[in-house]
Amino acid sequence: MSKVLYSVILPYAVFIVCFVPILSNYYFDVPMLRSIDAELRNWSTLIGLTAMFLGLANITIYYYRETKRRKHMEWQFGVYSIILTYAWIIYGLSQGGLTSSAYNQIYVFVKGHSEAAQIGLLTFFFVTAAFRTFRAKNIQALVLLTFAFITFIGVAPWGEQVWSGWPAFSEWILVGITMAGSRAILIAASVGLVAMVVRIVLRYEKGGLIRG
Amino acid sequence: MSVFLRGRIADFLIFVVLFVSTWLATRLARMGKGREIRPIPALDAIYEGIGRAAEMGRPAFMTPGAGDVGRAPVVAGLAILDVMATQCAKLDVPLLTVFGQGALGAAEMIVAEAYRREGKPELYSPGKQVLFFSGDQYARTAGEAGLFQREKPALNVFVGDFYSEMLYIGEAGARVGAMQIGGTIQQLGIPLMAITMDYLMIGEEMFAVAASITRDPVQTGSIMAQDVGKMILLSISIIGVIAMLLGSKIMIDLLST
Repeated sequence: MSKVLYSVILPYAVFIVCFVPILSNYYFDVPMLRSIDAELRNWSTLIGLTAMFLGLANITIYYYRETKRRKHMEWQFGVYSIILTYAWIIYGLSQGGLTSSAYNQIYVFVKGHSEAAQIGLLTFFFVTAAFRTFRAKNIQALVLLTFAFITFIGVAPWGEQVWSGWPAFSEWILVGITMAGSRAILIAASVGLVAMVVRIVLRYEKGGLIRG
Repeated sequence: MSVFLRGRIADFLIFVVLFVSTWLATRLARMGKGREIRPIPALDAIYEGIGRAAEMGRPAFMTPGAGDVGRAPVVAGLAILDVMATQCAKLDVPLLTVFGQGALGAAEMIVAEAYRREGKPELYSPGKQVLFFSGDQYARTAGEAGLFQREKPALNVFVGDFYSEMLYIGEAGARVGAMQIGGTIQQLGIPLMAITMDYLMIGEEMFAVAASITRDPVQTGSIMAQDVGKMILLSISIIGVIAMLLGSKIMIDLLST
């Protein structure tokens, strides 16, 4: 009984208590709903902050144990991660956090270079994926290839030299044909999303989250 | 003075119609008056892919991208994870998953529960199967590409929020010869999935997971309700276009009331 209470009934009750006022606040202009909505969002922020502190404690303990055992090859990354995390926190707090330009610059420079390195690693995948893209295996791939070719030429600096109407034609494909298709997909997906929400509310969804 | 916020009356009415039609359709389905839905090949292929992984002695992989549990595509991804974890536990196939920080706890719970349900809790290794690489889009992508190279999964399933990184992950999976299944509602991700996946779910198909896989009448009933919703929205679109061609903005005025 207690297992059902904690794993099914209680989470569902919390879900309904939070879901109904937030959804109602989206539709209705009622001051009380607005304040409940704001209160629930504040709680959400507080829960998030608590989870962040728990996460910090968790990774510290985890990497401390991993480093002590040195069982896996990756233990050095754990040391690096912990040193960097605490260095950022201490430096950020001592320099005034986001208001400090030095703190922001270090963040941007470190993150920028890390991201460039990661994308550099993945560039080879991009080249082979591009090759895969341009193999017209079936009629759908041929249509994709044809439209990709037209839009590529349209946005290329020399596209206009080939045919003056090419950029406009390319633009028409993007804002006309593509937009119509995209909106059809988006509308159908939105309907599917609402239906899924209704299934969760009525407890018909067997997606693992609301079980029982 | 209206109790509704401006522009939300039509939203509310559509939501109510969808809510009631879902409820009614599921009631009808429970009474045996439901109807069959068309099979979605991508979802059926999940079972085939896990069987393939069992035969090859290689793991299966699943990720919903980096979103958290507040994102509907990630919830659909969690539903697929539940199905995959159950089937992997049945066939003793190692399941690897990568989740963002906002859905990691839910994923761990689902996978552990699936192994327990199948009577094989010892096959679940906490911290080794449900992985977290990074909150950063491309750091996660690089981690997943590395995982594919090391573990060489036989089946890769990508259902959730995917953007430009899809090309890289899809290509990395294709290079190790994995059977690949993808599904997203992101317009940037769909064409990239079309290029690199063997099976593709576009838009709403991924929200019909449970119904399509289990063929549960209650679930299929809700798919009928979705059709009702689409008919309503399609009618609004067609009437709106005709009204605009005739020079009337009646539909825009109605929807913005």
